Amino acid sequence: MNGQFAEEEWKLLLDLVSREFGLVFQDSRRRHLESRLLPRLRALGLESFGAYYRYLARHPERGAELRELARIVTNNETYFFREAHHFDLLVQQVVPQLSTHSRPGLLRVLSAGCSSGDEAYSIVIALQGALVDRTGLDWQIDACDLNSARIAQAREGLYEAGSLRACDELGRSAHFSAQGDRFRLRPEHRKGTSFFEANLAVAGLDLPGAPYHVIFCRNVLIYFSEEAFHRTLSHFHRTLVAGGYLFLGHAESLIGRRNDFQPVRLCNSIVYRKQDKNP
Amino acid sequence: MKVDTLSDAQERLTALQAAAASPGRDQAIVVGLKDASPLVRQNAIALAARHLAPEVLAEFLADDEDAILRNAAQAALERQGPHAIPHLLSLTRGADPELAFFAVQILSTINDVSAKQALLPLLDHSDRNIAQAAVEALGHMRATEAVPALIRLLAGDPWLQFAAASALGRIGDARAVGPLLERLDDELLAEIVVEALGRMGDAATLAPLLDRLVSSDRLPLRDQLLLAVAAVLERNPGLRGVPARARLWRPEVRAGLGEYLGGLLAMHDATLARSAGVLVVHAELWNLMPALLARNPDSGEEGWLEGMLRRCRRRARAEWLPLLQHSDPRVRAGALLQVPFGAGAGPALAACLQDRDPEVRAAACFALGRLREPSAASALARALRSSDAREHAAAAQALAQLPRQSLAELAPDLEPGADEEQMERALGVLEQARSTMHRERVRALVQDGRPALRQAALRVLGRYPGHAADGWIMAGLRDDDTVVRIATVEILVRRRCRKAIPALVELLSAGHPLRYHLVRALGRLRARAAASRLQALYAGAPLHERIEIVVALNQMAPAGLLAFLREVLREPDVELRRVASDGFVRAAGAHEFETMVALARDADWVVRNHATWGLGRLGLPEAQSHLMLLARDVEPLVARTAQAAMGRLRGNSRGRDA
Repeated sequence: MNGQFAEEEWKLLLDLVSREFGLVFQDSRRRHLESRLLPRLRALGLESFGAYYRYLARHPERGAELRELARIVTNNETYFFREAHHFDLLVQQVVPQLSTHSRPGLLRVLSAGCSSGDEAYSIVIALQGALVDRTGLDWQIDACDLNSARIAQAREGLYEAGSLRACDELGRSAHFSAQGDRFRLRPEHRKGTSFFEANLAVAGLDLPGAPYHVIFCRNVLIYFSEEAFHRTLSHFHRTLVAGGYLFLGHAESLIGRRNDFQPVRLCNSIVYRKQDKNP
Repeated sequence: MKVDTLSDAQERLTALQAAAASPGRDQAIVVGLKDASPLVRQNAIALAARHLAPEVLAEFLADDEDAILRNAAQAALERQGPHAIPHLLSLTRGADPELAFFAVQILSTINDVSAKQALLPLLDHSDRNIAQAAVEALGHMRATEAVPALIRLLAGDPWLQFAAASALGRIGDARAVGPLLERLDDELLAEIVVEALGRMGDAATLAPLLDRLVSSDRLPLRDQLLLAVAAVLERNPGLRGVPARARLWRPEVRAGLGEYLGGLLAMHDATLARSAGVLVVHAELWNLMPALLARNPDSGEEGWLEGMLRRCRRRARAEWLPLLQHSDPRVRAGALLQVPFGAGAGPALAACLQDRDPEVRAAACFALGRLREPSAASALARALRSSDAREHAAAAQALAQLPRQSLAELAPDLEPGADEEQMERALGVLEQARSTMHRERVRALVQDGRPALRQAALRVLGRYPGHAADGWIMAGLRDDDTVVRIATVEILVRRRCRKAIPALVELLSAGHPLRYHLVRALGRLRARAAASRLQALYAGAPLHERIEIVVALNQMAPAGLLAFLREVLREPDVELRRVASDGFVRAAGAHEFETMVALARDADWVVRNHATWGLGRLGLPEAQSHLMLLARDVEPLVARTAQAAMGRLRGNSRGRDA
């Protein structure tokens, strides 16, 4: 499969990425992706994308290579307190409501597609900043991502300056300690966090901390195929408690696409609440 | 109430796919075309293109009540391509203006040459919507035969002027330049005319566009003018006179333009920023260079800016050196990476190797390498020992570009007592440079106790010219370490070392993972002598090796290949069948036409795609009807392959007629 079948090889590869990870790539990103995959071809001693596809499809060590591929195809753009109003909503609106209605005792939150953990730790910092723990409420923040390297980085808690772009000087010094030209998260902000690898787009996803009161999945679904989008939302529906909240990125919407989540306006932001299929 | 969750959509999709092979197929497809889920609808559109007649689909175009159905029918007709054209052309001549309008739009998307002549009379259609659709379609199809009529429309009905200007820009015919320039000051048409002129990129339009750019302060027209000016400059790299023209600008005009361009360079909009950069360089607005360079390292525009600066190197050399002293490290790094400094700049560039910022030091390595400056070798060798990954990688790349003798500086790095990582880096430089220096030391390292060094040394030998080194490299096939042996196989293939074939065949008795690489190597070396051995291995090999055996045999094309592939095509594994069909359609002659037709009906789209390509390759007239069907395949890639094959068949037929 070479020469005139270059398009075919490319489509096979993209179909595999979509099937395995639920991610879709536009043609405009082809050169970018190709340049990122070339080192993998070199590392495996493969001469073409067709050979790489066949390796991913049938080689006995395909599992390890799929993890490498996941590392390459995932967009890891994230930073602390991205869309900061969401963290305000969590502590000021959502947590009081959940406490009133269900008295969870242990607040369970999932950060889905957490990349290097910036979002999960932002949640902890926000909860601690609002002195939520003094109300007797404890929390468990589960955070998962497809990319094993990002999960390792999240566990390490060491960040480049770019990850702190939305933090002011005060925030930087309060929550991080400088380590060379990087920043290490202070240990107290790791409280209640747990990071693990997971592929949101697979059928039968098992999330160990479920049921969750809140799920954050921001700027992840925009990269998903239609099928993976629905499958992931079905996972979320299954793993949220009744009335649980789902936070999406500003460019993502469920309106007109899912009627098992109800859009709720909180302080000029739209978040979603789980709605029972058969109320 | 039934909810539209994944399971529901998937159930409907499954039902649709099952119905595709049942008597109720057409009705199920129509239901699918109306489905609320895009997932189901997209599948129904593919099936409709394949199975529903254009006449049936066209009826839905007239459905005012159901926009989803109408849009889906339109998409299906577009996918039908050539198959739908005769009926669509008849609709353009029909009594229903709405249908005619949609038909023109669909013909535009199909973009088949056969429709151009038929659309020309519609430019004067009494229904302005249809006339406009025809203008747009002919522009999209780049129909040069429409240019005179479109120029006439520029001065006609205001409704059509916009579309005509846009279409002329798309067609890009020089006859339209004058008439478009005449409309440049038309308040209503200015933006679209500027856009059209930018698309055309004609050198004659530079002066009028530039004059309006400096005098305009109206957005978005000014942005449009900038894009057009940049497009003309990029299209005509030899254009002179822009700096002279810029020097005539009054100070306040220059300042205003500088403020405007500076603002754009700080923006995330890459298109406008790049256009601003084009003008900065061509008009020699050097005070804006720091802003241009500071944005560049992140923007993926490196090659573009470097090429542009190279074109005006002679004019500006004196202006560039101070950029290396700029307070912003992004500017210093940007200058080192993008600016094509001349030989005299060597000392200034070398001084940047001491910069406090590692990005700048890495960029300095890059710049020195590009300069091929031998006096920098010693400093670059020191940078190669840096602990900063960016810096030592850039130093390695730079050293590899220096004149051959400069690599003598690497001797201390290759000495027996040197650090292993350091040795690897030095060997990497020799490999990149295809250098034969330090030959004895490299040969000795092939026997080193450390596998990583043996592998790196073999790679260096792999770049030696001629075949003198083949024997030394082949020793790597007997290495104790499998990774080194695999690397050796790859090196031998890259050297097209046919001498190694017997040794590679002998090693086929080795197990996983080496055999996988040996099979592929023999295929890439077209080692036909190994074909029978590979065929003998096939039955007992694990699946991934069987796939590669088929690929290798395809590459070797030995006698009896078709019979072997016919057997493989009966295998249940789809990947095996895919590679087998690939080989089959390349090797098969006209006597395999019926097998090829059968493969073109395969359930797997890859097999169908291969068969479609194969039918085109055979070039038999009787393939036409099969290709017509494949041009409506549910998989767009197969449809495109079929359309290309039909084009070739038409070409063959014209050739025969002539």
